[in-house]
Amino acid sequence: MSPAARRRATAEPSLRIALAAVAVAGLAVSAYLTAARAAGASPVCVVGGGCSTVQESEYSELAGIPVAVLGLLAYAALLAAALLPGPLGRVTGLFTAIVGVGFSAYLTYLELFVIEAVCAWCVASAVLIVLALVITILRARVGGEPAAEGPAGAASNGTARAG
Amino acid sequence: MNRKYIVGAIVAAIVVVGALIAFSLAGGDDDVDPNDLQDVALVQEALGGIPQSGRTLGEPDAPIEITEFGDLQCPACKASSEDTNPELFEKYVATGRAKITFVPIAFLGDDSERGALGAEAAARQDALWPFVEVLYHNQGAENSGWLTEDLMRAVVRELGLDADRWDEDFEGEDVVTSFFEAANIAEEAQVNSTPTFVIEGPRGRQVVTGAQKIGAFDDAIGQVAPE
Repeated sequence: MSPAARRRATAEPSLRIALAAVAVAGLAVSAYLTAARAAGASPVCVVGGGCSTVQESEYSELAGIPVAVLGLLAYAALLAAALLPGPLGRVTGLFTAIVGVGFSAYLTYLELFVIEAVCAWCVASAVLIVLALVITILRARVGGEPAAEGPAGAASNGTARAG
Repeated sequence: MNRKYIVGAIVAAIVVVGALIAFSLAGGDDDVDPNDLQDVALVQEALGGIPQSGRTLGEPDAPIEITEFGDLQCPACKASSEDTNPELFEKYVATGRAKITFVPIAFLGDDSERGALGAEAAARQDALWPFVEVLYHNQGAENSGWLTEDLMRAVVRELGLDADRWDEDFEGEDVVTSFFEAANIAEEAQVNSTPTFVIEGPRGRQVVTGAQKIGAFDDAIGQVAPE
């Protein structure tokens, strides 16, 4: 096994663990917001104080589905992607993370310029989803083409893909 | 082959994000038609016969005082107004056990501020409550500019208030003073979300936040009510 191939082989499991950790943290944040919403209570804002404003805003729902529930689904999909080995896990993870970052960016824009209130929990989720995107991009890169993982393929293509 | 999947995932993700955003924005523009106000009779029926003075509904010497801090744009306030207030009025306010004061605060945006000033102007005609309740029943999309002067004037007319006087009060300095006074009251009561109900009685003070069922008020009132 070439050094590049070995690096790839060791990076993939640790990236999957990192992705799982981020997904679990994200699940915790969105589960809290979903539960607070279901209880009709105002979320406890650790920093600042915009959580109720944001959570009570009409943008906190999409076709009747609370955005917090969409967050739950997204982090659950990321967790599934982390548990899935191989190309399916890599592609699912990348897809979910891009959707998450895109939608999160839109929600952050709403917080800053439309609702004019920022909620610390939402910022936490935004940071987590960006982390997830970085991890899934790295994973897609080190993943390369697993079909070429054999000694011959790795020797001939390893250096090109390692960069 | 892997690369093809990755490019596909990126393209699909961008399409999905676009769709989500379009969907979210489409849900955000339901204008309120001032010529088609809903539930005016329903609100008047719920408030029927209960004395009103300024921001307060109920007998002036009721032993329990409830203060509702609300923003006219807040969906949880709307939910509370529609689902719980009628029962609260019937059970506690109409019976003289409690009086309830609405303190309009504005923390969601320009529409909230206009609404709060309009409510203060309606309070000058001892009609803050029907004004606020009708607006909750006709609430539009947040910060969409739905809470217009025209809409408020339509509410004033439908409720049979003095429209010229409301106009004069709404433009006047007095309501602005009241608006800032309301903000101070909210700050002193440490209100950081709406609706917040502060319930005070001979045996203490309780706070109920968010859109709650009548049970939450039964509990809170039970704890402060006279023995």
